[in-house]
Amino acid sequence: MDALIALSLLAPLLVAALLWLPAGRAPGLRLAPWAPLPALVLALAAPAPFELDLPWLLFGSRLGLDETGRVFLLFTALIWLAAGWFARAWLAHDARRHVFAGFFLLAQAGNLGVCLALDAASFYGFFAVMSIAAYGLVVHDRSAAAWRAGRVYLTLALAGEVLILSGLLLAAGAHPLAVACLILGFGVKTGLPLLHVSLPLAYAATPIPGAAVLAGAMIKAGLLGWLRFLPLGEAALPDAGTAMLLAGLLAIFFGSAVGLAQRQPGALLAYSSISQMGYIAVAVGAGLLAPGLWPLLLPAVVLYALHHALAKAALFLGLGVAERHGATHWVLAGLALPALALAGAPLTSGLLAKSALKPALAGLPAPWGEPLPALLALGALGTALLMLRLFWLIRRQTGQPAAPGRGLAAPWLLALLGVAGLGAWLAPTPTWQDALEAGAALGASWPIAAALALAFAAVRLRLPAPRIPPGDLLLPVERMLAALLQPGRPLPPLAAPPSMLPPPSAHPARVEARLRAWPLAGMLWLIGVAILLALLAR
Amino acid sequence: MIDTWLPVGVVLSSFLPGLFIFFLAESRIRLRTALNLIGALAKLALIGVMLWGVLNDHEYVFRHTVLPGLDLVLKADALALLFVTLSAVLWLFTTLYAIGYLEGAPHRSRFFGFFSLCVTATVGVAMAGNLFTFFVFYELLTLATYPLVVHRGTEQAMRAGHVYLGYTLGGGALLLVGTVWLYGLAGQADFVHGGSLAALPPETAGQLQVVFLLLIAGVGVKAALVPLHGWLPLAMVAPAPVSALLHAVAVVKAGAFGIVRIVYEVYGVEFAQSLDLLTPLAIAAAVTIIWGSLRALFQDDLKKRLAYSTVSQVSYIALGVALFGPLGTIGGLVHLVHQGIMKITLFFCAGNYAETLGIHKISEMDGAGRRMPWTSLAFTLGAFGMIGVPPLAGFVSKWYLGLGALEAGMPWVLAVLAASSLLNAAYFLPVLHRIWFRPAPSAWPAEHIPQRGRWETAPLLLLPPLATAAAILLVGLFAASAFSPLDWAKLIADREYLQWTP
Amino acid sequence: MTDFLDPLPWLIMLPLAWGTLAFVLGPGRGGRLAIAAIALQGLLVLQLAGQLLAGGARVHAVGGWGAPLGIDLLADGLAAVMLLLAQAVALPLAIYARGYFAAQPKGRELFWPMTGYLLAALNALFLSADLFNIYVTLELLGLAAVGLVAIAGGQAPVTAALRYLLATLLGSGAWLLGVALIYGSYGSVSLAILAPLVGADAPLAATLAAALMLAGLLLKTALFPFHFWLPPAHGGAPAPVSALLSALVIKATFYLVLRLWLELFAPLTTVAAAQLLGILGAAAILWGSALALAQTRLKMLVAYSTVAQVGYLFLLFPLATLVPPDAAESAVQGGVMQAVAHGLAKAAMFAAAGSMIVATGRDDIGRLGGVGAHLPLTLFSFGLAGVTLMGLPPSGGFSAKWLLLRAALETGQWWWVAVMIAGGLLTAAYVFKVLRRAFLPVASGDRVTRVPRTLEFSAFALALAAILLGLFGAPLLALLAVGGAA
Repeated sequence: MDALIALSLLAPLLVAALLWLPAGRAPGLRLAPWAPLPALVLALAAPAPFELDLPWLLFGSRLGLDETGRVFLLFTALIWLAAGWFARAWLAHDARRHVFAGFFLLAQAGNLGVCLALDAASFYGFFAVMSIAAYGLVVHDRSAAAWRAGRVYLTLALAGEVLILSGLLLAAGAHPLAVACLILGFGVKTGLPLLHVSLPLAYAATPIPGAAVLAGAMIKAGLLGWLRFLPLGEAALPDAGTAMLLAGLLAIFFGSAVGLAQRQPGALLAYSSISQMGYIAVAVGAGLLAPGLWPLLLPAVVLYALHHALAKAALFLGLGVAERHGATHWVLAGLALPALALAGAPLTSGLLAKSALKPALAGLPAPWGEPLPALLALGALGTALLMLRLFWLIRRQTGQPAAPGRGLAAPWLLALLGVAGLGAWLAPTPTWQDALEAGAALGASWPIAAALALAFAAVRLRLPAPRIPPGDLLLPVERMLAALLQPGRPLPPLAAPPSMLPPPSAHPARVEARLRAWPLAGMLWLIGVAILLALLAR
Repeated sequence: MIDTWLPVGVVLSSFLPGLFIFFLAESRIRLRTALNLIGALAKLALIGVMLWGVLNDHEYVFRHTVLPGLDLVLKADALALLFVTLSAVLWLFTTLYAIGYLEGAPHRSRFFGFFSLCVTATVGVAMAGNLFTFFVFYELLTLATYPLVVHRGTEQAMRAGHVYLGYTLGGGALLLVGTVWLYGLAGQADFVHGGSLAALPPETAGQLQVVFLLLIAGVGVKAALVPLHGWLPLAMVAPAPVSALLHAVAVVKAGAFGIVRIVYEVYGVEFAQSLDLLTPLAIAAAVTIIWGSLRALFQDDLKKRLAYSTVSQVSYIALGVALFGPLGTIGGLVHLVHQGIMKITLFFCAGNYAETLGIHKISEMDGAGRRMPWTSLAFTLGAFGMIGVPPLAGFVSKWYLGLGALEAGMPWVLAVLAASSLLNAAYFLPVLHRIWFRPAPSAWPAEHIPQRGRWETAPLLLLPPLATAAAILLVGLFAASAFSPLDWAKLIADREYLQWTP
Repeated sequence: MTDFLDPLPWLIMLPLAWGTLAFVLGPGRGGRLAIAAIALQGLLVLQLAGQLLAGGARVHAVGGWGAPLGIDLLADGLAAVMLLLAQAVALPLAIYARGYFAAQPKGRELFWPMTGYLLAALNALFLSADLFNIYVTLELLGLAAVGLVAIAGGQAPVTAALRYLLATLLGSGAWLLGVALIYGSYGSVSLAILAPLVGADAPLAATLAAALMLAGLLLKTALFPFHFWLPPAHGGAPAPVSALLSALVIKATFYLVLRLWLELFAPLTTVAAAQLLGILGAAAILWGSALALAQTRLKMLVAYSTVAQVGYLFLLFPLATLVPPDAAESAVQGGVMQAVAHGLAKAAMFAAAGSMIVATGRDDIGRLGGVGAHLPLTLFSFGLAGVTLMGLPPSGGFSAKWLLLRAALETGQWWWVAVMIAGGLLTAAYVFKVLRRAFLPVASGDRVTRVPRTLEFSAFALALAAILLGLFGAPLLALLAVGGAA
């Protein structure tokens, strides 16, 4: 098992190293898609829980898998596998595909490591490697939009890193600010409101396989950070809990609303992610608020993460297929599965996840216990509308016969299989029973029905779709910064360091010449004698 | 007997080759190279012996009375060996690099002579057993580096040398006054674990505070504490190996090391804390960290940006020293080593860009990664290390500094570290972005060394930065292993706190 | 028989003898003789130092006649240190001079005899035990020195020599006047006899004598503002002469000031007078350094450096007068150490400057480019000497500064600390003004020729001695402590 852990982490790194060497490029590219296989095997085969102490690594590392980590590793590895496989076909004609693969594998190693890390330092290490390497994915297109997305992504990611590091250190010192730093630091990755602005830009700019891992796998690393380092189930933190709960609710509705105003499918999916991660933020906030509920909440959160990760990854890969092959019936049908799952339709992982979440949240004290289920149902309506909007946006895509399209279907199918099967396989039996009740099915169906009706009405009435540029709040901030900084203008230099030499002036020399003249010299000497005499004679 | 002379041997192992080299004719390249390498390897061997001894609680002391009551003491203890080992190892790499860098350049005998003297002085600074000895080698270091700074003989180099001397000799004067004053008060100022001044009568506290200010200002010049840092960015006109020496091996390190010695082994960190000296030091270091980074942001000259980065990074050491508690100590000490490895890598790379392609400015670096991938890889590791990305060296330092800040009850330091990390990223990442993501220009500013097969530049220019870059990764990744810098720093911290209870 | 082997009289007789012989033998053989004789003198001084360390200070009555009628020679620690300095500087300079006059023959005939008389006068002065003998040695010393300044001929050196002559005669005259007043008051000129007689209640005549003698010596030592004669004289003479004058001749008169102040006139000294000497010293440091910095001629720069360095010597008086004995001891040790260190370093510096001038063919700091590449050892010697003058460790200059600083801080006179630090930095400024030029390449149209090896190595030996003094200063201080003032 130790060897398998080592292999899971080293496989992507070794393939990346191979890609670095000019001679290793071709074999590296062939191997690249399969790098996450050891991790997948590990997630399936490892006894849980299991730990591996590495006292010589970093500050003494501990790697391993507990129940949570195992689910995360499972869907993470699966998504990376599907995306990597997809990327090989997607970028077949790209001259810089080895560069993409290099960053892809680095980020992959980081992401897998995050799932396996059981101590703060190594978790942070893997997290940082993942975040920074993903920059290479975001800017891969080298277009203006990609540069901008990369800049915003990296700025926020680094701010997040710094907050996380501070939070981890503060937590080690049991400082009250630790929780805030950790929530915000990982919140950058999970797209908490105000920290979300990089997501729409990045998802729209990144090549499809990159976007799939960003939106599916890496975003969940932020969640795992919350789960690992927040004192969930240990201490009640009403302030932090309330704030997080409210932020989550805001994200749910804000994400849906702004998502509807998007023109690019990628950006729309990003807002959908913001919205979906809102649900998870609500659950984590509830855990901070009421530690007693955490044993119920944790499996629900993990299930929700799994569901959203796979569904979002499948949607992105499906977008790619639609782009290359056109929005054929088969493609739309394939896309419908994850879309329905996100909307929480009956018989999907979405309903399972929501069914797990609902009873746990219902246990919250007033004022939350009552209104939350209703609010969440309203959120489901928003999600359904978003998905309809997505279909609307891609309905006319005709495909690009020139671009490589062979080999895209198989990885997509793998992801779809994951969406269809994994949630059902991993969900506990009570959740199953809840989800299969007629009431639940009915409760899950009405938002979809309502959304369909609304969408139909909107099309009929030719309502103009609102338009909000991706990144929404970012634009005024960018404008303000541009006005403030005017890049390229250097700061005024400080005063030049003082010169060590006084300027050679003629003055002392002239005084010196006077001193040399006998009358003055003689007089000075006589004065000297007199003064000495005066001083010596008491 | 051998115990007495080993420290002297370490000093002489670079001094004697240096003297020989001075009087070698320019054309005796082989002999000069051999002398250089023999000296470097002999030094490493001697240090290896002493490392083994110190680990087994042995101390190597050499004592010579200069004036009655004034001893020249060379002592190899754990702290000394931390610095000695760092500078000896980096010296070897820098020598190799310099041999490649100066191939065919004039005045090489002079250069390598002073180069060896410079390392001699550094080793002396590291192994000084009392404040007087420290001062002796500290001044020698000033004199030995001046000819290196002005080596090119250009107007700009002359000016830089001028300013360098002004600052460092001024600092040396302050240090001298502080030292004499301290000898007057205490009779001696031997470096001993836990310091020796706590025993002085309480009415001298005020004087001791003034002396502390003098001493720290004195060594602060070389450590480039703001506002005493003005010489460092100007000195970047020196050849790249000299910059490496200034920034990583010798000069700024000597200053930072002086702060360590003064706080821990002259005053004693617990006594310094009781005199309220540590918080002002922490504030000075914090200001320097932020200011250096801010200034670095606005430099287009690569070496100048690196120089301001040094201003900022070296103060991490001072900061760690000022954080009362073993964790802060560990952070500061380990950064002494880590900053050296990272900065030397960066300067080697900057030198490679300049020597190979004629690139001096950041705005000329577009696409350099394609042409010089290995150099750029090393540069990238150095830059990420500086930012503090795990698992590289800089992360280890920051981690312990952060823990130390909390232990010392100064959580505001975390904000400084965070801001500094962001600023580091802000001035390093654009460089990396240009190197890796921008298309290369049609022609480089001045391509001196053409691509030869696999070699993107001369082998002697390429191998040292690759070795040090690997070290950046290894000392971070295996920080918890035995014999890592972190391990050694823990050993030292263990011995410096006499009454510490967390 | 033991009397015959006593080194004291030989130290005076030997240089007189070889000086005279050198007249007859001419510069070639005279020079060789001089070198051998000076080496022998050096051995004698070492022997003397050994005797002193073993047996304490002693008096030698020349020809068996004691005071008050005969001539007494007194050897204590201070005298021995100065003797040691004189021979240690003279030997390398003699070797240097042979090489130098081979390249620049002007004045070589008179150099050796004059130097012999100069050394005889110096040794006699250090050993003299009565005021009148000292007057005689002072006059001999002054005349030999003036003669040396003038040997090269030419208008500027002769003018400088004349000015020097007037100054030195004025100084000796004042001394003679003082001796007359003392003799009138106490009826003796023997230091041993006078010492118990002079007390705090000394008559005005004695005080006036003290003032006159001290002021005369200050003039001869070229303490600011009486330094006016020094730069042209030292800057204009041939390099070996400049070195001898700057290193030794002004030290002789300083030695007398120190003796008078610490021994004969100790009861008369006041804090105010000591502070005055200190202030003049401080002014000398700042003024001399500033002017050195403003010079364009290399030798003038070195000469003004002497003006500045003399200032350090006089800082010992406020630090040693009416203060706790610990501090006073430290101050005197510092002052003497400074005299020795400066003697060695300044000799090295003038020698190195002379080599550079020979090599470049002109005395111009702006045209020193290429010296670093062609005369590395000479430049290195100049730098080492500079290190001593700056007071950087490890060097005799540093040890001196350390002791003086310690005394200043112990007696709470921090203003001298500021002066010393400022002086050190100014020194660095003018030393590096030379060094930085030398690092530059040869200017177009200039030519740097090689100089004889002896020039390079003798300067280096002097500079190295100044550095080693910093590492091995303890024996010197032990010798200084023998039987005398400190």
